Amino acid sequence: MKRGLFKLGNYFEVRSDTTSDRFVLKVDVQQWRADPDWHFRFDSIDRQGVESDEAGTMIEVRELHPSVSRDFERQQFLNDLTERIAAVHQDSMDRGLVLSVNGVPINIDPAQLLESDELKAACEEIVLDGTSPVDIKLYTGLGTSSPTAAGWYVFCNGRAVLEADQTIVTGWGADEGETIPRMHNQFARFRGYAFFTCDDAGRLPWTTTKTGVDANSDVFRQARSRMVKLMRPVIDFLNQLDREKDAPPADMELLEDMVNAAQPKRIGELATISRFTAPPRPKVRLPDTQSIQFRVEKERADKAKKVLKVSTLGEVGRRTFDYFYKLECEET
Amino acid sequence: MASSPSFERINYGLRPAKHIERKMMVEAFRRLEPVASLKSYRYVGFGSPYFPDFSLIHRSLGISTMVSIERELSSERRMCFNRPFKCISIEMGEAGEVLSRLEWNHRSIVWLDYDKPLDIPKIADVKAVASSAPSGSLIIVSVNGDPGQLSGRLERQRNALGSMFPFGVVDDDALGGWGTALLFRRVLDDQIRLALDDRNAGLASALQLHYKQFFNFHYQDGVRMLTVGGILFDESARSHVGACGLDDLGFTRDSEEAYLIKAPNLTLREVRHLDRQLPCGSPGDISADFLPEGDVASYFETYRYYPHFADVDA
Repeated sequence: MKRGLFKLGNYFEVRSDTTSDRFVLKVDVQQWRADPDWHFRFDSIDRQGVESDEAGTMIEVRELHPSVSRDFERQQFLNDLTERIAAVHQDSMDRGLVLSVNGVPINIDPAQLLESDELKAACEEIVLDGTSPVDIKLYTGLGTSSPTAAGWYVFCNGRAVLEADQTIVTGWGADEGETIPRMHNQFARFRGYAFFTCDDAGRLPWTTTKTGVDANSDVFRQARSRMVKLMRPVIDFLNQLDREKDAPPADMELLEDMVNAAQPKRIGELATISRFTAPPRPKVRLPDTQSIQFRVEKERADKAKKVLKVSTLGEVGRRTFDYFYKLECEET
Repeated sequence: MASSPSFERINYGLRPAKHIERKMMVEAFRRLEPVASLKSYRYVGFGSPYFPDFSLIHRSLGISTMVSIERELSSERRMCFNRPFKCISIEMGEAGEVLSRLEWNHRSIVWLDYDKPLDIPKIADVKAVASSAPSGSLIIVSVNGDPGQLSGRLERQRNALGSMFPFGVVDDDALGGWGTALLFRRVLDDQIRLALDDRNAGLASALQLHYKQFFNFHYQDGVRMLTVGGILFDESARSHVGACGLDDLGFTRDSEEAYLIKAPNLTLREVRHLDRQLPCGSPGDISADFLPEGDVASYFETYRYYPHFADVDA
């Protein structure tokens, strides 16, 4: 935290009141730097606490650096900051934390997945034992079609450390037991959420700056193999959905219509099913014909048309291909 | 195409408030002499086929490096035919395209005189200038600031401006009257400063560029229009900008509060009657009890810039 405060200004004050004690810490950064030991000294400590409705912590930064106060004058900076806060603290805010910027409350889009009678998102909870156990909740399913919003969202103690991740970190392009393709536009509806919670923040799979995932941590590696397992059925379904566009079945409800009819539901309120479920469809047979397209100079096409004594260019293509195939490819 | 080019709908020469604005702006430009010789400036604008700003600026200030940006590719020949002076070069293309291919070692007066409301592409044009024009240059932007249809004003502007929409504006009513024009000024001011923040990042303070607004006009020949603009300057030019005395001109504004240009409708005979009593200390000194007081007061403020339209058999 002190690193963050140093970046903002030259003076800060921390006042913390709990029901059992309270303290005030005032830091003049220039003076503090002159201290060879870099100690922080409390200005007051009181063993007498406050009533619980008065408890809380106030951090105030003054003597802002010029670039910081300038940023706060820019409307667009305030918008971007708000958007950033909403993304990072989405989970905590979804659970009741209220945040505002310059007195304007921040709104969030809560994490949601599509659900209907036929379509169910997957939900799995894992607990990794230890002195302070790590609780991992994983969800996979469908959201609105958006290539930029698709991917995995990873939270550690309520704070977003990955948003819309589409890289190998969250299993895309992975090949370990399950093979998951790389992100592609046909997966624009994929959404995955992973929530890691632990009383000991040191066990959580985040980087020291708490702004990314530590992909090598044991906790994350265990979670990741489950994440990949939970992804597979969603990816299969999205592939099926994509194939359906090329060859829509005549006698069945379209998967697309079914997905469009499903309602977004907050993930906390989803039916808890351990596997993504969608109505089965018979495998669509890929057509066994192909079309070939190419361009040639008009003069040559006209000449070929004349020699072949046909009237359409389609016919020219067809006849020249057959001619080539007969002479070069047939084995008689 | 959604509508015909605006020059086919309106003859810009016949809009009295716009006319007054143009002349006021030229008077302000004339004061830039302490910053740099006016003749050394380049003027960049949208000439359309009438080129009123180009004619006025060349005639009054002698600026003879002029660039007119024209987006209607089909009317290139017409624009070239109508160009009033040889020194105007016509650059065909969208403003953003042309602005990014111009050389920016030339101190410039750039007037992006749009007739549509502000949106992200226009802001990108403004930022293209703010991020390239050298110290001493002027950026001026005119946009339609009409609030439009009563319902959905906030929603419309949010869509048009995205994350550039001013922070914390949540009230539809705030956009009524001149509210939309005020909002656009805030966005333009914010975005010009953001472009400069980026440009200044890592530069020694002597090289950093600052922006000082001195135009903030509201006028209404039909729809509500906004013109906002100012000067870019570095530390070495700061005192010269101060020496221009731009703040002494009654119509300049360096803040959110705008100067409203009101052009009273007067007959030529009325104009001559008023002119004979001008200049004078205050509108109350003028005797013209047959005219509404407001019109006399407006004329008192604008008479040196007031246009005289007549039907000429040329």
